[in-house]
Amino acid sequence: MPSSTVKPKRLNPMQTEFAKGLLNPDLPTPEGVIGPGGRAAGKRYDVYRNNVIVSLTEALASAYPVIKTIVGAEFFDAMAGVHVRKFPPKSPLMIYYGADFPRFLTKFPPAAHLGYLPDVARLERARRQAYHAADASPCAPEKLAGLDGNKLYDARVVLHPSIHIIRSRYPVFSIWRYNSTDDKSPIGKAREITMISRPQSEVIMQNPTAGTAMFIESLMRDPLGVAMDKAKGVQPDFDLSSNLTQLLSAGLITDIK
Amino acid sequence: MSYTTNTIPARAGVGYKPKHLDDILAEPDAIGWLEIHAENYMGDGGPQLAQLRHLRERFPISCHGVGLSIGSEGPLDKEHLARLKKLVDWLNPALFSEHLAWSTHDIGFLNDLLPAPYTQATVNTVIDHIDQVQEVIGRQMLLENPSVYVLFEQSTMSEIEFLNEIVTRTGCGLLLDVNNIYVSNTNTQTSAQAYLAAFPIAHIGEVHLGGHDAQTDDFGDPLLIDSHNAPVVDPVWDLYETLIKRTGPLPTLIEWDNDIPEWPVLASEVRLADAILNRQTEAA
Repeated sequence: MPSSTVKPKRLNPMQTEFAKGLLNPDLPTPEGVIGPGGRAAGKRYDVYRNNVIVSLTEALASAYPVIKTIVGAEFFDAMAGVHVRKFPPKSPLMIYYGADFPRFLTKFPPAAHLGYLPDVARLERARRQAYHAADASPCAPEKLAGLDGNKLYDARVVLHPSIHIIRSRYPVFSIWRYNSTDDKSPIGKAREITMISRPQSEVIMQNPTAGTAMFIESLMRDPLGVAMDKAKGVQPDFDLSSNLTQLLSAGLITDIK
Repeated sequence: MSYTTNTIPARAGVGYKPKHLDDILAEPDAIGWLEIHAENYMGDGGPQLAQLRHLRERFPISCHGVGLSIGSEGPLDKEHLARLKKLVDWLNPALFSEHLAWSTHDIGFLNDLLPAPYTQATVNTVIDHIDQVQEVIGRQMLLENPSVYVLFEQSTMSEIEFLNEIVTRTGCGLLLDVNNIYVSNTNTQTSAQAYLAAFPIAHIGEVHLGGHDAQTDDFGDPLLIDSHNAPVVDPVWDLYETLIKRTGPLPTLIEWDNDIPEWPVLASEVRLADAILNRQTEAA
């Protein structure tokens, strides 16, 4: 294939200046950027500024719809404007944009009175990740039945790649449910653990017990026996076989080794 | 009517939006093909990829990249190029296209199609990038003409000269966006008809039609924004008909990406494009 003889130079300042001005409205129009007849570009350069901020704000809103519902569109757009300038995307995959947003919310003073907001954002982030997670088929139930006492402790239970556990000091699942479904039953005060998964096409959310949550988090790293011990440590009546059966029938165990 | 799924017929198609899935499946003959934005299908799995798996068995698919930043002064993002190759290898689209624009810089991905000055240095960089893309994905790409809002003092060549040199040296094809012709030429106060007359039409592999938003600049002159949120305007239909009379029927996409309408609105744009294509087929 033909290739040009002139090698591309290291960044010429043109795109650097053009790019910086897009995120900083206080900078002047970059030098050399003009309108027809050589007159000042003015509003014309601002079209690009506006496109960048609006499109990134929309990407953030599509990833965090409940945050937008809670704070309202006007507040959200202003907050997103601050966020997208501070944390522009690192990759062209807009489906994953917004990883920094939950942490940003912990340090955004105008929203500090809504202490639960960062955790609701973590939950929305987990939903987005679960939605795009790899597909995986459930393992055959015989694999579980085939585990005998000796092998049981050291067995590795492979969970569906979409599983996330969100722990919060706030009832974040209830807050999410209230703001994104027709279920307007009152939100309690108790903290909640939320489990997010997508065994087939729908993202599913549940409130697992402390033992189940510990069990699942541990299974992501530890053999089955260790996970069981940890679960019993936080919930003495933790029932291993019913937990395994439930995970299996929900399609959330993809292999047992 | 049915086509093999990896040839794009010379009729109208639409940019695929999940909200139209049921309508599209209910009346598959209403459209000739679908175009997807590559970056929306780069997740690891999930319902979006499942839908695409389903659709590619039923429709010819064109894959349109929006994030490769071919016009960057710096090197292409190799990781992103590898993701694109993976998608194209799996999907085996009938057409693959990208933009004459840049969007990635050291400070991040800016999610807009940004302009570059038309100079020999830019041509050389763009040619290197297209060579690299075509080599990695192992097929010809189509390059889309941009909508521009500004000009550059540094520019030393016209957009047509720029595109001519690129197609000659890389062997890539062109995606001609007729709305972009209208938007750019209005914004730069030049003639859209003259641009179209000079365009290297032999290299066109696909046509885009879309809507724009009309504003004014600081001097009260028209400033059109390529917003993809409205019907195609009459002057763009006229340019399109002029084009098709010269080229004969070409695969033509209706692009509507924002304020997405209900299916019947989009379907009526498809029928308008098909009517022009059919007139030309009958005349031939």
